[in-house]
Amino acid sequence: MKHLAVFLFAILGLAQNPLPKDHPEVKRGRRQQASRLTAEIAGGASAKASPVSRRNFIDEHIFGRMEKDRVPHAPLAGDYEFFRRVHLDLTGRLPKPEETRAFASSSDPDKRDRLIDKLTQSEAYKAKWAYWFSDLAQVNSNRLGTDGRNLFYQYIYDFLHLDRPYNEVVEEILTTRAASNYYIGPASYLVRWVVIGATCTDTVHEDTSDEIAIWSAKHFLGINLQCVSCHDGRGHLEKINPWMATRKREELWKQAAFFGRTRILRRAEVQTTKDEYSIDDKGEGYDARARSVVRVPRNGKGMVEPEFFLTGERPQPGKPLRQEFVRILTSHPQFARATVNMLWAEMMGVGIVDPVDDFDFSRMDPSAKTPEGWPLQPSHPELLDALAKDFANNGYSLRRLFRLIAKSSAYQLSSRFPGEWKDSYAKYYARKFVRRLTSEEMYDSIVGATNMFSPIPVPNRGMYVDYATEARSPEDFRRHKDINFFMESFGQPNRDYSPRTNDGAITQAVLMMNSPMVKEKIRAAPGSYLGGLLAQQPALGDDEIIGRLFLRFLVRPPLEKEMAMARGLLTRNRTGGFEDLQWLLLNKVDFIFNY
Amino acid sequence: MANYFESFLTRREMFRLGSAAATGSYFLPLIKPHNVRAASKVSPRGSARFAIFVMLDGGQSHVDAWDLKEHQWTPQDFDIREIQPGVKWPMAIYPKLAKMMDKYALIRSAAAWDAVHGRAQYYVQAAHPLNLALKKELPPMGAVVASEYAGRRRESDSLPPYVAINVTASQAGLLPSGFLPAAYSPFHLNTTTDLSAFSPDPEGKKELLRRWELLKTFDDRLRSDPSLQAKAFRDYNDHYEGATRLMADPRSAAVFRFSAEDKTRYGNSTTGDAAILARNLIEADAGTNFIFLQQNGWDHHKDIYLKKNHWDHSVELDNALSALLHDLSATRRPNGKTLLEETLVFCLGEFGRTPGPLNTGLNGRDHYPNCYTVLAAGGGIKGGKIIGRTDEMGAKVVDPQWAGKRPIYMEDIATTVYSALGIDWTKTLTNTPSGRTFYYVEPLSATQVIVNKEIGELFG
Repeated sequence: MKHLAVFLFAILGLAQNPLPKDHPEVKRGRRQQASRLTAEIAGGASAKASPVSRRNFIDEHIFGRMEKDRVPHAPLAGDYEFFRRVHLDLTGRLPKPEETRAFASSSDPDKRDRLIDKLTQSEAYKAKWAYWFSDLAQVNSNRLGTDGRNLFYQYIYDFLHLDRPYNEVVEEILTTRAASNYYIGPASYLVRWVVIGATCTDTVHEDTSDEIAIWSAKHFLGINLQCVSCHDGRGHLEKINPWMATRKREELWKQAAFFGRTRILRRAEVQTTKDEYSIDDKGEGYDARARSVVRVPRNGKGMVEPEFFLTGERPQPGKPLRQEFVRILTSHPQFARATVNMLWAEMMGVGIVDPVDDFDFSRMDPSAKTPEGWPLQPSHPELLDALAKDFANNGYSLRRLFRLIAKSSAYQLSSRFPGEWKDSYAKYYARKFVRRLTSEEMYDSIVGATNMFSPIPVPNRGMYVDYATEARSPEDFRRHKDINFFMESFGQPNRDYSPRTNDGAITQAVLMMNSPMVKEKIRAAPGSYLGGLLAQQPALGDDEIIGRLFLRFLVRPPLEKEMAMARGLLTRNRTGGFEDLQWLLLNKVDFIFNY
Repeated sequence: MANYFESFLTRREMFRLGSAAATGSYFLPLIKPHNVRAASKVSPRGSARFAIFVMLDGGQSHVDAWDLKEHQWTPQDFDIREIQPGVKWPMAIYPKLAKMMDKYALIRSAAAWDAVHGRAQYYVQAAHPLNLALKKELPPMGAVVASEYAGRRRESDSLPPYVAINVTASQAGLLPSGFLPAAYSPFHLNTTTDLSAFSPDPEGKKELLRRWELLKTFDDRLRSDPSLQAKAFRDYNDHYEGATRLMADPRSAAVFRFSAEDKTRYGNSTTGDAAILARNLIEADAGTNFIFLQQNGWDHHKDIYLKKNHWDHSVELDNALSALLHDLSATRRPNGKTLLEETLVFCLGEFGRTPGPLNTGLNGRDHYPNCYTVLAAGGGIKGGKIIGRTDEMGAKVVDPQWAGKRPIYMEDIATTVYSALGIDWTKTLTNTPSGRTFYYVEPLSATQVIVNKEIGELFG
């Protein structure tokens, strides 16, 4: 009775308060926001639009559409703009001045392609994307133990290094058995989602299966099962996702039932609160009558048989359930589509379907009618399919996918736009979208530009790392309280319950302007980049040093006006003036945006 | 190659949207939450202007502290005495609070909805259950207060409305402002880091302002020209303006001052420093109304009675909290009110710890949501009161001793906070990103419908 009351209350609550007309997520998505931000930051440019060459099938789709609809687009980014952007996007770090100069002065027509090939082989690329996938899987030592986390990170790094087929990786992390996630890296993907009940050793089986169903669908199918894990879509999701509005909580149970035999147990003999778990397939199945400690009571009828959420496909009798799940999952085209869309969004700023974890299958097909009042969801459905097919037909290679995107003219458009920008151009990708640097990119840009590193210890590995993206998870920064505070203030998540944020804040400005950490890093100390320039023999001229600092911090040479201002800083005190200049460059608007 | 960012200078007319407003208004409500409705007519008490939450991260063992249950496992050296009829007290670890019961009340009939840290900690910040579908948008109590108090902000206020202190180890993390403006997100200060950035000395201030002036000329006019209305830049510039105002505000020096005398009196500890900072913020009255302060490390599953565990944490808390309550009650505003009269203080963990004998093998206590103790003070709360009676073990609420006739949950505490701060707690917002109604105080708690009530008994 009590639960019925809860349910009625929820429904009535909605009915009494119909959705407002200007529902933010429905009406103004990330695309519009990115468009506005870009328009504001990049503004217009006097450069005349010039046709760009179509460099691969991505360009056929992107520029073909714009040509057909007569939408103007930005010119190709210049070498400096491109060079900075591609370093940040692929490696999360700024390039060195020598590299920037060599690139800008090279007349090799293939220099951009060569650079992309090189960057996608670099250690920085592997570190950035290992960090990124660890973020996605929410890897931390609180949930996995320091050893479990270290090993899982290693596993992720290795699959990027070897560029192992992504479908194979997904198969492994979803099907691995392990006596302990401290000894088998890929086991930690599932262990991460274990739900603990009233006591520390009480792992709640059905809740854990639900979580695994929800997160694996989010990561590998681009769908959000969170809402239907508590209630049917009807009466809740009509204004959010018409397809999901037709789905039932029972169907989530069926998806979760693929993990009904997956048993994740805290290793009992360890007798501490260590987060070390075993994982096997000796569970008793998914019981819809089971208690829940995290969501509305299930009140189901009994044992649930597995069925794939998208197609209703069942496992073959007698076959192991997890293996069957992976077979069905990775052979469904949505697996490749969701994956390429997610990484496209990282590179391009906005997904072809956006948000990337909220696909709506009632408005995917350009030849079919979409629900009344709803536009087609993907901006470029054919491109999405083509990317997915290319990915699947080429060994699910992530490296190839990154190269394909980065080498397209679509990716290489300038964020400057000639003429008047209209929001309606955003869905064409008519210019590159501007984004704020992440906390890790900010930190790495500062230490990289100044060459003033603070070694970050990686517990239980006996090693130190220089860059934020080389850390295994955010807890590694805790040994350096000031760095930890910096990272948190710039929106680093704890990969537990606190999400990543990418908003500006006063604290950020305080830290950039006046924190002891930043002030120390801009000093012309021995070992710093600036210190090295000043100590060089024969001595470098002022203009040369100013030029190199601009290249180092902003990845472009100074304008004449800027050069004159910088010279003016040196008159009072040469070293102090250069320190002022470094402070100014770090706080300059173009330092904190990727454009 | 023309400078990329130079391009908007030549096209600055694009950013002109008529006459400009002055900047520096970062905390003033730029975006108003709309569709605010109040469901019923209630009269918020309005007895306080400030609220401080002291969060005991990990969960304090109530039966070894403020609802002491003496049994054979209770350490001999707790020095247990009856400090009020019926109030047994571990004098050895809470000696200072023992002497000032007239300043605070104890709620012994408190209970939590959840027994897992992350979700229960989320509850304390949000006063709502953790619903993963709504997590991104749901604002915590501090942000709601900031938004309600935005209209009362004065031009001279330079400090942010919602300040969090030392929330460094919680699983829940600090909840951002959700669908409310980012300016209402908690402004986090960590007293174990170098805080000198926030209040530079005169020399540092001079250098900062000199560089700031340079930056405005060095950087594009975007930063300094208020007629450029591009929102992203206006925000960005406003952050810098706000930061400069804060750092240059003479009151900041007082807020970020930790004198040797204060440090000793507050116990020379991280929590002591946090409490000094909280006191300074209230005293300065420069824009901060809500403070969420955390003492980390109460999760004593193992060897709870080892000195470094329950004992040391208790002593650290006793020193910090007693000094805070003392200072707030000893300082008067020109209007005659003490700071404590204007400030509501709640001190609590996300749940209690298992009562009875210690757990086997580990000699600790595990998570226990069914019953625990909350300390409440200030803002009109009557000191010396004890609400709620528990059984012999401290395992169950025997008599809730309040009008709700059931244990007191976080929702009731939120109701009380909103009421004391003069906020109508029955308000709802319908213009949320998910389309789900946001209730200031949620009528659907984790698993059941409850009627949330102000804990009026605290006030007299």
